[in-house]
Amino acid sequence: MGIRTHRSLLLLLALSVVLLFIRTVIPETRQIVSILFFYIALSEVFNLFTGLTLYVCFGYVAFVALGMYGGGATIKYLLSSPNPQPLWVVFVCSFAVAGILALILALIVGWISIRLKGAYFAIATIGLNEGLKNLIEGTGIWGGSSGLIIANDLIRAYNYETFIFVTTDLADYLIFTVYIITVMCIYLVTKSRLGYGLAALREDEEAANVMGVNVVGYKLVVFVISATLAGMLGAGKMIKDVAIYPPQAFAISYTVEAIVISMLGGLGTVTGPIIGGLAYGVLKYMLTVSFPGLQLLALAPALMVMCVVFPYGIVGWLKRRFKGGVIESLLT
Amino acid sequence: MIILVTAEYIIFTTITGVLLGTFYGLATIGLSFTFGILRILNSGHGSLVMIGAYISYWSFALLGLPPLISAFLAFAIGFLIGLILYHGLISRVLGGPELISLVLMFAFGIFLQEVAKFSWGASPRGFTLSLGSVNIFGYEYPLTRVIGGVVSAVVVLVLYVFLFRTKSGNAIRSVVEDPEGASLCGVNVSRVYALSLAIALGLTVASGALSTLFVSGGIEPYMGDLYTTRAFAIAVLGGLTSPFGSFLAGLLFGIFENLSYMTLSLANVGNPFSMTRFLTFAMILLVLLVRPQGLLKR
Repeated sequence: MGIRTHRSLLLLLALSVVLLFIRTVIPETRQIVSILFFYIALSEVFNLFTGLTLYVCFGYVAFVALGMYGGGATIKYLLSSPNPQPLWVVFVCSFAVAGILALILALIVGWISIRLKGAYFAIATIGLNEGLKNLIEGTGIWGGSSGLIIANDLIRAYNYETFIFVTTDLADYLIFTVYIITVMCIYLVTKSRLGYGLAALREDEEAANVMGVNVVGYKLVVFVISATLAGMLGAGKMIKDVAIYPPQAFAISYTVEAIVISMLGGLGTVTGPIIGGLAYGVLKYMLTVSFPGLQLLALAPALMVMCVVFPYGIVGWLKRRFKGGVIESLLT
Repeated sequence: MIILVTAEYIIFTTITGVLLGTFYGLATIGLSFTFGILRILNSGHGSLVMIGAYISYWSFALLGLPPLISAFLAFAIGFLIGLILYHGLISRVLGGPELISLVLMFAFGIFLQEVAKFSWGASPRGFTLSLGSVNIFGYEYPLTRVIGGVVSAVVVLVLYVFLFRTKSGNAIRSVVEDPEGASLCGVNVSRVYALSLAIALGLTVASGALSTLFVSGGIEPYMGDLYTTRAFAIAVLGGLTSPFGSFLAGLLFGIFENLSYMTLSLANVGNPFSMTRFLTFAMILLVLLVRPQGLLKR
């Protein structure tokens, strides 16, 4: 285990630090960089489950939304007391609650549906998203269809300057932290017994099962880890947005954007999401600036062409193109 | 408002559920057809339903054609879209990873949405065609919806005859069993793929045209998202690869939706509409727990 084996991780961290650096040096880039961070973190979390198992969960955004709700409700509850806790206690609690809620949901849903194979699992989980959204709207918990807003609570409990700092800077750093934890998790999982089991499962699930790999258990473990991190990512997004409404929070486009970025970068690679996230985010941003209102009309054909040109993602294409060279060893 | 629950009312709700269900079934068949034959998850499914609804709207507004006639036009247009899509894009990614076609279809769905928004604007449109109403067990129900339900059922019957009684139908079924074996027996697999995608998209677009009979307003570029999630849920209930399983699941979905809405409104639940949707999805998870392979498979 020398520096060579960790090259790709170093490349990844270097890219992330460069992004963070750009963000601090040029204030105008703050907005796009924070969007990029969210996209990269989302697809990295998604990649932890999908990349390692090749299973797609269509209800994935439900975990992010549940994390947003859990985190938001915790903040609202803690700040409603007359003398509120310090900021960091509140945020640690909100992240913990968000993660635990997502973990519980993932255990329930995973227990039912993870036995299903491949696309069956993908489609079975589509109901997760709609179901949770309609449960919140239908029973009116957490504000129901009128949404959960924590901006006033934050301003009242602390002051306006703290509020601005929290939503612009701190939220980005928290999302960045979740992203780094996720990358570490993927790295640790791939190098563990669990990772080897999953690799066998990816190649041939039935053969792996016969060889004594507990396929259902292994899938469930990564599903739960990934969902918990997604919940924490949601808590970070809640601090960033300070408001959540069911239709936007449960928009299926988040799930699909995570899929698109992972596929575009290269599914199952650690560097894929960051390269895919940069490509997708920058492309979307540039199209929005140059064709306001028509960005999606231009983005859709671009994506369709990319699917045909890079079916194994940009990282997959680069690996084939520069086989055996330094570039291949940089990309994992 | 108090509605007395009589046996007639329950029967009425069930029958309207069946009519709605035939439409749901038709709107889902295309999805399971594409998945069963080409192994492609059509994530842009709802956008094709939306295109169908617009075709029906414009035929009515410009030519005065009722949705029942424009459904045929919609089928033809969907068929053409399917052929172009297959030869232009899908055939190029079929050998690649399974998930790439999902991204491709999703991008195609967005493309259709944006084209619709660009050409016809984002504000909802709608029209009502009234042919009077029929009396079902003492309750009035619009005749157009009855016709819509019956037409959906007839279309599915025609599809059944096509698949099981014609040469092309047999070719399609043989490809589902084993593409390599079918190819060895002289079936042109690529042509079967193109034909299947064309039929599937044709049926989906046609179901979109019929949707205007059930929902009179709200034709807008993003209306399809609702149908995508619903169709996915129904398809998995029906076993995903079986078109007729989907149709049955659609019927069940319609009946369940109507009955649960009735019960919840009577029980004075705050938001019966959302709760109904939650319950339908919870039901699907429960069904999967008992029968993970779908309703029809042994």
